[in-house]
Amino acid sequence: LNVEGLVPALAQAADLALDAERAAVVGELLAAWLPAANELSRKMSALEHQTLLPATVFTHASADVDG
Amino acid sequence: MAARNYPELLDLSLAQVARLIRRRELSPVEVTEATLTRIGAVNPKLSAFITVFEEQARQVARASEMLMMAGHDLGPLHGVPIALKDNVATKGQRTTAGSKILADWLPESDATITSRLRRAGAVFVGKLNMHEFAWGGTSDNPHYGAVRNPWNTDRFPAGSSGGSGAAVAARACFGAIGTDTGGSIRLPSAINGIAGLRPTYGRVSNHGIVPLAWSMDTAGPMARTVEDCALMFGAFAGHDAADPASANVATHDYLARLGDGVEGLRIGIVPGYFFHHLQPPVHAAVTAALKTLEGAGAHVVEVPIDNIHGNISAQLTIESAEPSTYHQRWLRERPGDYGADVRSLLEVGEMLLATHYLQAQRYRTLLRNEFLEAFKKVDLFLCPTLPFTATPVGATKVVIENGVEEDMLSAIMQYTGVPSLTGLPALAVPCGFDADGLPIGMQLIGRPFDEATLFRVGAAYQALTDFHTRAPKV
Repeated sequence: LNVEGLVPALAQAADLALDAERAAVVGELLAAWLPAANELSRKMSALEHQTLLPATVFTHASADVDG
Repeated sequence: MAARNYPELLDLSLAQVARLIRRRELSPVEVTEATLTRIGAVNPKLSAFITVFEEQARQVARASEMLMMAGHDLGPLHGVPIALKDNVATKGQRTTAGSKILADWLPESDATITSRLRRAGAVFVGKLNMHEFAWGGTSDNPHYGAVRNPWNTDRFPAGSSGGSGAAVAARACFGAIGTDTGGSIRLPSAINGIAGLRPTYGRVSNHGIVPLAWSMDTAGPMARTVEDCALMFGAFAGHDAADPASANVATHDYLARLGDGVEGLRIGIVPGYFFHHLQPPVHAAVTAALKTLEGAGAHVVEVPIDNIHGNISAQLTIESAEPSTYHQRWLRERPGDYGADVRSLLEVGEMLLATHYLQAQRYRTLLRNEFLEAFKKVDLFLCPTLPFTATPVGATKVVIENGVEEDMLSAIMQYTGVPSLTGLPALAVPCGFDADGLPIGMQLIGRPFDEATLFRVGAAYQALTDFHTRAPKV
C-alpha cells in the first residue's frame, strides 16, 4: 500500500503537524495496518453481519430502566 | 512474633503471609522491612519501581502491627506489602503513568482500586514502572528506564505492566496491581512466570486509573499463585458508581472453590488458531498443561470460532483510535515529551477512519457472540498467553517460526486480543520454561463474570505443578 501522499493529507485533515520525518515513520505503520483494517471492514460489511451493532452503544441495563 | 530470615519470608506466597499475620505469627513490620530491603537490592537491576514508599510503608506497617496486636483486623490483606502500577492514582503521591507528561502529577484522590486495597489492609511499598501510558507491550520506558526480566536481565518483561510482573517474580512485593487493555496484565505475567487476571470488562472499577482505551481497559491482580490473585481480587472487585462502565453484578467468594478440582469441566480449544503459529517450547508447555488438566479429570473439546481471524487488526484499530482521542491535546502541545514509539502509535491512531473503528467495534460484537455460543459447549477455553518467550530488551521484532521476523506489537497480541475484544475474563498461569530458563504461560478464558472458575482451574493446575514455586536468581 502506497501511503506516501496519504499521511500528510490525513494529518492535515486531523489538524496534526507532522514533518516529513514523522510522516515517514507513521506511514510505515499505516501501510502495515490499513490492509488488515480494510479486510476487516469488508468482512463486517457482508450481508450476514448487517444487523450487528458496534460494541460502543448504550446497553440500557435493567438498573437504569428501574431507576 | 518470632523473627524470620528475609529470603524465607520473601518466598512465602501472599496468602501465606496474610494468614501468618492474622494469626499474629508474622509481623507486618518485619515483612515490610524484608520487602523494602529486597526492593533496594533488585531495583537497580530491574528498574521495576518508579517510586518506593520507604517511610510511608514503614509507618503503615507499624500501624498495622499495632492494630493487629490490639485485635483490630482491617481485612484480608492486613499488613501485606503490595505495589501499584504507576497509572493507578494514589492521593498526594506522584502518579506518572510511566510518562514525562504526568511526571509531577499528584492526584487529589485515590483510584477506587487503591482505596479498596487500603481498606483491606494492604501496605503499599511503591509504584511500578510500565510502558509509557500503557501503550505498548515491552515496558522499554524512555523516561524511567527499561524494565528488565528477573529471569534474565538482558530480556524484556513484556508489558505494559512490566514493572508489576518483574517485581512480583523477583520477590520485591507479594502482589501487584496491573492494568490490561490488550494483554498488559497477562503478557508480563506469562513472561515473568507469575499469575495474573484480566477481569471481565466492568468487573473492576477503572475510576482513577489513567485510561488507555476506554472500551477495553481493565485492572487486576498479579501475584505468584492463583490463590494470591483470588485473595487480592476479592478485596477490590465489584460495582463502583464512580465508574460509568462498572457492572452492577454480584461478586463471589473467590477463595471458596479453589480446592474443587477440574473433574468434569469442559476445556475448549479453538482449532486452527489456539495452537498454531507459536514457538515450539511454548507449544510443548501449553500442550502438556492441557494434558495435566485432562489427567485430573477435565475434558478437552474442540470448538471452532469461525471469525476469530481478524481479531488482531480489530485490536490494533481500537487500541489506536481510543488513546489517540484521549491524548489529542497533549500530542499537539507536547509531542516531544512522548517516547518515540508511543508518539508514533498516537499519530497513526489519528490516521484511521471512523469506519475502520466502528467496523472493528462491530467485529467485537460478532466475536463475543461466537464465544458466548461456544460457552454452551465448554466451561472455559485454554490457549498460550503469547506465542514466544522473552525477547532481548529493546527488540521491536520477534521470530516465532521459520526464521521470519514479525512486528512485536501484532505478534504479542495473538492470543490476548481475544478476551480484550470480547470483554471476557482471562487468567495467565505459569506452565513451563524454555531451554534458556525463560517462563511460559497459558491463558484460561472464562464466561462473563465467572472469574471463580478460572481461579478454580488455575489453582487445580498449580496444585499439580511447581512452576509457580521457582524463583529467578536476580
